Amino acid sequence: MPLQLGRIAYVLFSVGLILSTSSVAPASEFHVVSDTIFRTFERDAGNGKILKAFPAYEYLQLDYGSLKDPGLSLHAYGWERVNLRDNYNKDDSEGELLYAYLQYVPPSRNYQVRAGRQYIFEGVARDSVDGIYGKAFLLPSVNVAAYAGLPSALESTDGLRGDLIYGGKITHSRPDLYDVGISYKFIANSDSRDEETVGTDLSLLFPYNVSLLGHSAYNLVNNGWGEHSYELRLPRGQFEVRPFFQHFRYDDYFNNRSNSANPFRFLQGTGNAMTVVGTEAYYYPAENWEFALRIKNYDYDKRFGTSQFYTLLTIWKWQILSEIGAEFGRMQGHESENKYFLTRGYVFWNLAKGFVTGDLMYVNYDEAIYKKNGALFASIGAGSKFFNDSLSVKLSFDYSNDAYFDEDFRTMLNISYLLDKTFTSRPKKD
Amino acid sequence: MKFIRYTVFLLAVPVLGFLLSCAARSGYRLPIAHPQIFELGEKREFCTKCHGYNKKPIDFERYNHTALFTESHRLVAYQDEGVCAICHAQSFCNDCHATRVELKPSLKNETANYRRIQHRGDYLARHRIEGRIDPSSCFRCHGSPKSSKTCQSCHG
Repeated sequence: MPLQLGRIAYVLFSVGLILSTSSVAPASEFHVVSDTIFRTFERDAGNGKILKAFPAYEYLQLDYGSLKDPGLSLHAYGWERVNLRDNYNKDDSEGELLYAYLQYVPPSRNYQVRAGRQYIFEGVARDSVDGIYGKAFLLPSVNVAAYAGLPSALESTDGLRGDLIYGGKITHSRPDLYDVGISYKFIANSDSRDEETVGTDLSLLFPYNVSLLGHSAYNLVNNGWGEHSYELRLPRGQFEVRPFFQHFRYDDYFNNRSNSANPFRFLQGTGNAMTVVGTEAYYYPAENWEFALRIKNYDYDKRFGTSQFYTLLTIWKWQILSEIGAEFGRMQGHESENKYFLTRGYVFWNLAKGFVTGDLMYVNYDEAIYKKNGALFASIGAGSKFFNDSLSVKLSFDYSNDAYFDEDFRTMLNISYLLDKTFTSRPKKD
Repeated sequence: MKFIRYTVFLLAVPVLGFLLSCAARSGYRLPIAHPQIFELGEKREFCTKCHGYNKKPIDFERYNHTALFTESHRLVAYQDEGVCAICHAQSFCNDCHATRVELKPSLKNETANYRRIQHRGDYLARHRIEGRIDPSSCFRCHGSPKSSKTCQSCHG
């Protein structure tokens, strides 16, 4: 596996050279975020042998160019793992370049173009693309987005030949009334049409701040609706209620082609459909108190009977960045193997020079999983910032005792480094 | 046929984009980044604290980071990802929405416990139940050959 962060450095150097000689970005900013994470834990291999894991992760984000104003800019982000005195992980190193793209936004901000590897969020598209993306405003109320390139999720599936992704979205907006969007996505792997979807996004604003949000997706390969998700928001002073409705037809929502994955392939073809009806409710009795409730009812055409899920969460803040939370949940599946109680409490305490955290979770299963009736998880952490907040160090210890881990202790050290530098433009010659 | 469709699409995009940008002369445009003076600390933020409840130019109330926002933000994000991008670089979203990551999001952000990030605690055991009850929620982040790599050691 080639070092992905090396790719970032190469791209940065090449494009940085272009940007540094460009007159498009008169004041260039350089922004670096580096997260270096060290973990230690042990695993029982089952034959009496204890394997020790000591992986180190580096998450590196680089941004250069006109970052806060219109102009040309470069953005890159990726991660890399190397194993240090490690006999648990199979590969010496792993990594992924998650994005590396050039972006241009003109001073009018009437359009935006990007080229390179990037994550596209446009209606039915939630995909990583090696290609181009553009978004433009047709009228004050209409914008159009389009993208095309290679789907990077398929680069290791039958090679790149014949791979293609393209699509777009057109949105009509009236800020105080509605947004309506229609999106389209096509994915081919090795010249085979793996996915073709058209979707709609909708938001409607009614009097008294009532609003409706919705999304539907239609599978053009199978000719059927895969998803309908709609949510009504009813705010009333300190209260807000958000009833929602979701319907998924498995044959049209899931996919058994090469752009899908094994845990989900078999679901396409089961003919099942799931309808979820429920609500979220919020109550804010004071500025430092939050109560949240979520209720869901799952109903299926086939296989299962109905199931319900309940969550109640309460949060108290005694300072602006310090809070204590408690959560109670119940999954009431149709069968005992699908039932559990969950309780969780946490604290985040912000101090003058850092913070302290604590987390405790206990889950009780109605039917034991691998002979364990419950799961206990505990975590404590602390962190501090140095050098005008440019260096942050976080240390945490975890304990798990559950169906998969007996008396499992883990340690994690996260060292974050942030660099912001602005390069002013060269003085113009008269 | 596919070649023609692809070519027409690629040609149409820049032409359409150029025409559109010429036509668009007014209307609200999102800023490139959230003004630095309001740079946020480590907390969930309610946009309405500063922006109020006006619906123009953006319905900021829609983007309030409630206690359940991590799990229920997708419908607002679908409306206009650009609003999210003012405050969040793609790297922020990539903790969950990525071609491939190895550390589960709750682990990478271990001390950010106030965010109620997915897969905390015993989730490896609990996903057997939640995956049976609602596989659609798993599919959104683990549905591609690369993003499902963490699933493959057990699911093949």
